[in-house]
Amino acid sequence: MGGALLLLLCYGCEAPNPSAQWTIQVKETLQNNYKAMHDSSAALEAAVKEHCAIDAEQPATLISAQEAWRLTMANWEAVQWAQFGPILENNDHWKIQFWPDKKNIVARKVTSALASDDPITVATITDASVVVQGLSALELLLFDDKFAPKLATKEAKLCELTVAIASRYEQTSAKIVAEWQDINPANLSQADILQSLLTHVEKIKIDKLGLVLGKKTRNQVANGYFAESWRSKQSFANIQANFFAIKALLGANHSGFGLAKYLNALGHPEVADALVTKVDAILTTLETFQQPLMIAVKDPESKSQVEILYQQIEQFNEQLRNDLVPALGIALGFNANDGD
Amino acid sequence: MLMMETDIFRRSLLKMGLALSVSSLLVSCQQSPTKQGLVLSGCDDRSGQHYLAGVSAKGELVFQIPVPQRVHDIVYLKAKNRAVFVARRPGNHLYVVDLNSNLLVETVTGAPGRHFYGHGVVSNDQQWLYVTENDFNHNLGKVGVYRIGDTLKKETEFASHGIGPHQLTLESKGDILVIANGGLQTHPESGRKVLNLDSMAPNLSYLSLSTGALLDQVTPPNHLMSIRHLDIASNDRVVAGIQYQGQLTDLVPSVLVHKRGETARWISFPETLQLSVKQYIASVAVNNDARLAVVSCPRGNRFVVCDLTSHSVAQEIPCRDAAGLRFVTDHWVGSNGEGDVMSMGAGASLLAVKDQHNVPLRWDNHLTVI
Repeated sequence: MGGALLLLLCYGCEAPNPSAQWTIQVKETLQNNYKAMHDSSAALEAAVKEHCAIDAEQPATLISAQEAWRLTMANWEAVQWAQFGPILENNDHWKIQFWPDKKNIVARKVTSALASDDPITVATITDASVVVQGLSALELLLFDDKFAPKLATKEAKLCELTVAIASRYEQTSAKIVAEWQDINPANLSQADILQSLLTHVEKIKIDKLGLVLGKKTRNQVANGYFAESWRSKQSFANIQANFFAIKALLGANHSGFGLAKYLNALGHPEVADALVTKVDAILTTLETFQQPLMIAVKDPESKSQVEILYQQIEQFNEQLRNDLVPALGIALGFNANDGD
Repeated sequence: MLMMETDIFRRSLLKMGLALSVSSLLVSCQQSPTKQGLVLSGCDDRSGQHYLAGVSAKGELVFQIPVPQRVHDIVYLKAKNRAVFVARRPGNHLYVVDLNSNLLVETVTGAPGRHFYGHGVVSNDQQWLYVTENDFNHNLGKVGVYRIGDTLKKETEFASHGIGPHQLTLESKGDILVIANGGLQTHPESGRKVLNLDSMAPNLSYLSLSTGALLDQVTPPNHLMSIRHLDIASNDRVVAGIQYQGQLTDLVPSVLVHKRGETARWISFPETLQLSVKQYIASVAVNNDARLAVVSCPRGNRFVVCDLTSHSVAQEIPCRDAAGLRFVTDHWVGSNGEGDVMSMGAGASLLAVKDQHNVPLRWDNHLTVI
């Protein structure tokens, strides 16, 4: 009897600790995602350089650079939730993406950068405002009606600026990858991970959908220009990338030690199941949209579908707060959301 | 051995979200134990129940008293060895805890038509407690004056010279009140909703306690810059934190440095830092010679150290949901919403309540150390 108990205890000692296993999994998932973000940022830089280098006889098309931007944007959306580690310490978030931008500051700053007589290099951009250092400025240059046609015809100043920003973005993402490699998963705080996830889902609800649906305005009128990535018509794709990343974090469809397995180990498989079911429902709703978000909110029928998506994300947020947080037994802060 | 201890210490720091990688490290977290006494703060548990709490220097919970209203700041009444926990808007309770018995000995309910803003200050002679209040039927900021006896008794009140008075303090001689009038109009019927974004008029006011006269007033360059929290050094230099009510992407100063009769100085954060802290400074704590001030930025998940000589940011200390701050003798004591209490400063130590993953407490925005 005593021997059996001892054996059981020793077995317990040797078994991998589920809590640590999950944290290791989060670290590895993010490491791979940051690597993908950097790879695609290098591909974007190369595509922009190639576009601008090819002689003017080539057709005036930006398609390959635009596609490269879409890919790196999607890769950014996959890590957008993580607000800890190098991104937090270096204040990189706004540098990578300047959004929400209700005052259209990106357009203003890009316009004034283009007005400069001095050559624009990556050094110029590094010293400039973060507004012109990342994906938002690149989206403007690659997709906006006012700028993209000039970039398509390889106008020198446009090319100079776009190449410099793409190089700067490549540097920023390279630095994150390098610093993230040094992170010891044992030093990752599960409270940080959880708080990041909650804040992110709230942001998807409030900023990515609520602002567009007019939830914050008195007259509740929808405004498509408040959509994330409205210029590239990538708003829904961004949210899709967000939820694919959340699904990966739950670990429902891969062999690693995802949140679902951790919850299982803690005796809360039902919490994991319910979260996965909701994420799948959200992804299904996202697949139904035929038009970009900024158009969808103008049509009563598709707008009601956006409202459904909004409600599903709100419900998911409630599940995280009411079911996941207690299941993991983590105390979260509240001053950031409800201070005075 | 020493190396091992250092490594363990570093790991525990990282666990608490404190990064020591900043090169210009002016404030360091070191291992030697602190001499400070009880840390008092409001807190919530995971279910949202509000408490008054005291934590010993060793990180042990000395008391934890459930209360109906969420509290904000704490005033220590030295002569009585009592602590007054002040409810935040739209709360109307003052909770008095006796620190000999660690029991709640009195709950003061604010006068009809008034609520508190979470802050108070005690007079130098320990006879009077001054508390910021809202006369919400007339939309006027008030300072309530309470006589400190066996119970707290409101004797009078006077104008705060602004709407939405928040934190207040006294100059060193104790004859002049310094009040941050946040400028935000709220009414209990609409909860915490701000009703006057277009007409906000925040200010920092200096009032004579003997005459009630307004001696000096600072108004910010932008009317949406709500001046909310402040601290004062022994040389009467005031440092205040700004909560800007406009767009997240607007670049406005985050910290005000001012001494009565002098020109106001504003500290702007570097662009990336400003964007990260999301226009929100919570607690402010300045050291005695007004050389350094630490401010907490819960929305930016960090403490920010300001150099008051160069009027610039000296250091950032990442810390999830950074909340309370107080300068004590030679170091700062800080807290966060994840249950950590820590010391920052030369010769000070990290003071952990317990492992943040296990303590079901969430410290509120302010703390007091006795």
